[in-house]
Amino acid sequence: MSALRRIPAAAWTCAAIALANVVVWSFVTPPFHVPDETVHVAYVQYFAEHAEPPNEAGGPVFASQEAGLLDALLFPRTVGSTETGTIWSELQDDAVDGTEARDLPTGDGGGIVSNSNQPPLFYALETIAYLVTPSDDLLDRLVAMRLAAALLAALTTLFVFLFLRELFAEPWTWTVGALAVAFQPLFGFISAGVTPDALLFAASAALFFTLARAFRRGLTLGRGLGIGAVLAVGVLAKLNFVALVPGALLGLGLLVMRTRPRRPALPPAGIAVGAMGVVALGYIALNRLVWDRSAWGGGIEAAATNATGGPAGLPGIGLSEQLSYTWQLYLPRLPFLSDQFTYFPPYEIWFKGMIAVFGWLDTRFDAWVYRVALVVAIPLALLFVLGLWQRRAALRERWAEVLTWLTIAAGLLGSIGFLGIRYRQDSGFVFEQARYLLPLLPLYASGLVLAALAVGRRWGRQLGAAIVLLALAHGVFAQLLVIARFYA
Amino acid sequence: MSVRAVVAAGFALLLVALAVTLLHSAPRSAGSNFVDEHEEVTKLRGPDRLCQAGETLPADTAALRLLIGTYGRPAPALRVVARGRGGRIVTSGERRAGGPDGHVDIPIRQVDRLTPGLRVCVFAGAGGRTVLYGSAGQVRFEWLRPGSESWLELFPTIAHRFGLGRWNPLGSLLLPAVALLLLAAWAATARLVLREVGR
Repeated sequence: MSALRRIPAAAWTCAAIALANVVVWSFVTPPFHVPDETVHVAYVQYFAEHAEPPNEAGGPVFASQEAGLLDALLFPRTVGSTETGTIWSELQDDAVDGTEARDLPTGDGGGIVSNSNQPPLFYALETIAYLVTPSDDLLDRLVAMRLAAALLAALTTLFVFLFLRELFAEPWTWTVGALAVAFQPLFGFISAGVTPDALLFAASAALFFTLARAFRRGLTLGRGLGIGAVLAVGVLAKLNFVALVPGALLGLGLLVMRTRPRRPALPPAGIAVGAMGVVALGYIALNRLVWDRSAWGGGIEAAATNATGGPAGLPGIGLSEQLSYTWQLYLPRLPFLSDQFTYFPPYEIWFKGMIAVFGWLDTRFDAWVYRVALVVAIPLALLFVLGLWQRRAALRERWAEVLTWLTIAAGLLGSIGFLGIRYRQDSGFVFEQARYLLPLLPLYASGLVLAALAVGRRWGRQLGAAIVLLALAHGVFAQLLVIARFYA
Repeated sequence: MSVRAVVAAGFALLLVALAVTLLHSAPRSAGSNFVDEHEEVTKLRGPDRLCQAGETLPADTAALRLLIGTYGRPAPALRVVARGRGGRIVTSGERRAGGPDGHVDIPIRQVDRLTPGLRVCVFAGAGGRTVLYGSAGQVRFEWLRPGSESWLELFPTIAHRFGLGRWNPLGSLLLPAVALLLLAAWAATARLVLREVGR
């Protein structure tokens, strides 16, 4: 409790602002119109009804209740379409009410689908919201589940604030960075839905914070336990978190290496790794012994199969092709690399995605808006680079920490490339979405803070305030875009 | 320039931008038959017609918007007739020949109440081929509200639609309530920035 009391009031306020903004997003976005929310709700419902993850090969993915609601909401006809909103008439609303009144079965789903191999921690948390809702109607429960996810977004913002507090000496920067995250539209939109991304973002932000704290103040038993707890939560939140683990382990190793004498730092590092290991073993045991699933629920195993030559019938992907694909995902193509994309992913996927791509990737601004956003973003990016240059001495001094952040980021970026090329080969569709970068929100916030600091003492605070206002304006126009898409 | 001035200027700019956006006036949708314009559905040759049954006319409808293709020729005269049970005409309207192809609006006699179970026929006048677009064998019918409205004028309609298909104890007041929550977040942000960044 004393640790909680030491958190500045500004951090709690930033978290509360994020909560309010994400709650707004949760009402602005119609039910099930956050990517994959249909199957995540199905997972929660099955988990709540059966206390185990969905694992019935060939069974229906959705329980009758959810399937009936999706039909009544005309979801199959509105998702992915830029030309149709959601339901607009009392007649259609009556059909939804009628479906809810039919008391359709809630436990007859459970079929294996894209998210069935995900670990169950997020779904277990959402099960609480599902079960405490004083109504059996799924739309009522959906509100409670979305609010629970919004709380995780507030937690993410809190950890971003605390991370910045470890990184920067100027207290005003902590507020600027955290508020920039609180109003980031993609973060708000995704966190407003029922999706394990919300817990993934919170765990990632907490990982950055706990590691930064250990770098700044030393690796104690308590801090080791904190890192271990975060790693454990992250691994059980979403499999994508595994990509961050190598960087975290490197950070722990560097923390041990730089401690003199080293021996006292070993137990905390051991506790961190051990906590994650124990939880992972517990999860494997549950999968094997109780839930009759493969060790990692199918997720890691599928990735390993792909890595060692691809599933039967599909050719493996060579290392050079993998590297070429991953490079071009984030950087301009070099002359000797084979062309992997017909478009420029850094702009088309990552930049545009961070500005505004909502719904099931079906809701975007007109093209000119992204060009205007680019005009605003380029000076900020240049200031960020200037800020790095100005602080090069500090970066050199804190090389171990910098290396840790870079390795965590590289792990995430590399995993997106690893999965992306395989997904494209298997399905023909594009895998990458900007939301996959959101585990790096703490670095996004610190980049904006560095940009504000780069203009110097005289103007830094003013630029910081302008960045917050810009994020706020970005947020509300994004919300208006979604309102126009679905209700106008 | 102080942080206070930046915050004041920022909110002033934001309000101006919001006002410009929300006061922009244009024809607004009353609803559609939830069919996308993915593909060519039918080709009307000369004086010809297409009819679709089971259509619903949304409330406050004053025009039908269609996507047509005419291979570069001017659009033909178009007439639309919506009939209810027993062949009773619920509404009808027409558009004279001329103008480019693409989206065309056919004005109809205004219908104030939602009317389901209609058979809607589109008649193309003399001329060449006229392609109608939609998907899965259905032509997309988008029904427009009368005249041109700004977002602010449309607000009561949007607020009504916003409240449908979800848990909602507030009815049409849900959207204003959500807007108030956002305003509260803005106020807290302004206060926090002035306190933490501005000192």
